[in-house]
Amino acid sequence: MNAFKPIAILGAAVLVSACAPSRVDNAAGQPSVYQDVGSAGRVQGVGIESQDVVAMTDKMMRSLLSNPMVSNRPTPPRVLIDMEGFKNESTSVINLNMLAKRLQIELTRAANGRMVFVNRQNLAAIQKEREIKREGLVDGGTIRKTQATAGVDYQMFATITSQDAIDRQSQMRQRYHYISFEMVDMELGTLVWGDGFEMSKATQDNVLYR
Amino acid sequence: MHAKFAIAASLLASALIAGCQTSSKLELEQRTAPTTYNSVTFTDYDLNRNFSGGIPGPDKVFRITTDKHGIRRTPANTSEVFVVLRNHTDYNSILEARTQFFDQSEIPTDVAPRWQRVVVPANSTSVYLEKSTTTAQLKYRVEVRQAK
Repeated sequence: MNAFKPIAILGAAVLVSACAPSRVDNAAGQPSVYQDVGSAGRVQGVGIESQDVVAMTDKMMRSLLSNPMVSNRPTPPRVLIDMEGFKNESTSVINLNMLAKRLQIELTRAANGRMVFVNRQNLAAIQKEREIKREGLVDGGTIRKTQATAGVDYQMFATITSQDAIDRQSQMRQRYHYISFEMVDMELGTLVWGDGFEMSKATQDNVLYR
Repeated sequence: MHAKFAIAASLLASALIAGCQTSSKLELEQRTAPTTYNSVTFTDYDLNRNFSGGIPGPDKVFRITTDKHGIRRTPANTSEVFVVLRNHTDYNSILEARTQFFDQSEIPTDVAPRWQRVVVPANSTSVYLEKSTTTAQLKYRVEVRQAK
């Protein structure tokens, strides 16, 4: 009878271990959520964020279209907007192509023929197509033939600048951004339009932008 | 016995009155107001609230109001909306505003409205400006909220 006792205890222990919960973390977790691109998101720092890009490009588009020298000409001017004309001199990390592309696409949609946008990013593909048309490998298309690709009347230049300050005691940091936009006459070298966007942000948490 | 009953009745009555006041405070005129054109709306009711009549009567609570608003033409024949915002508090207020443009048939037109920041200093005024991209004659509806 006494020999039976250890066996019973061992059996109970085996049963208890078999019933112990598994180590798989089956919690629902935090699901990813969609956010309004025009409003501040859950992760906020002192850098340039989606709501700043949206507000900045929207403001510039409206400002440019209300300028009669650019948007009210009898012959629509040829405009170049690409990241070659954009410079980041600030301490913020920002994809310049995103800024240039958003501005160009929004302007293209809103201008509705009041400006003609020149594409230089795909110049190699355009040249190749022109060559095979002229070699007779393909026909001439349905629109027209031109001596050369379009020359640019105006080009957009933008510069992002910033000024940082940190409180050593509280580790509070603030950053002031000024982003200038200029439209330059590419024949005469004069400025036909200019506008700016500025903002100042302060935070205690450190956010990493990529 | 009568004294106890009177105390209980008065307590119940005061609770009911408090309840009615709370529900009337929740009943905001602005929440159910019909959409109007050539107007400015406070979508953030902490900034500007109209209470409909309850036991305490109609009331108005405001931190920010509009002094003036309107629409004018730009040199390129597009439209520009202006709103003069007034801060009635002792603190600087950072607001966001956006404008939806409508054509004369009151159909939404122009590009999608985007929030733009406006800083209104304490006890002062600031002007919010927004330009349209089309040259058509337009109506507008401006929405104002607190910046986050």
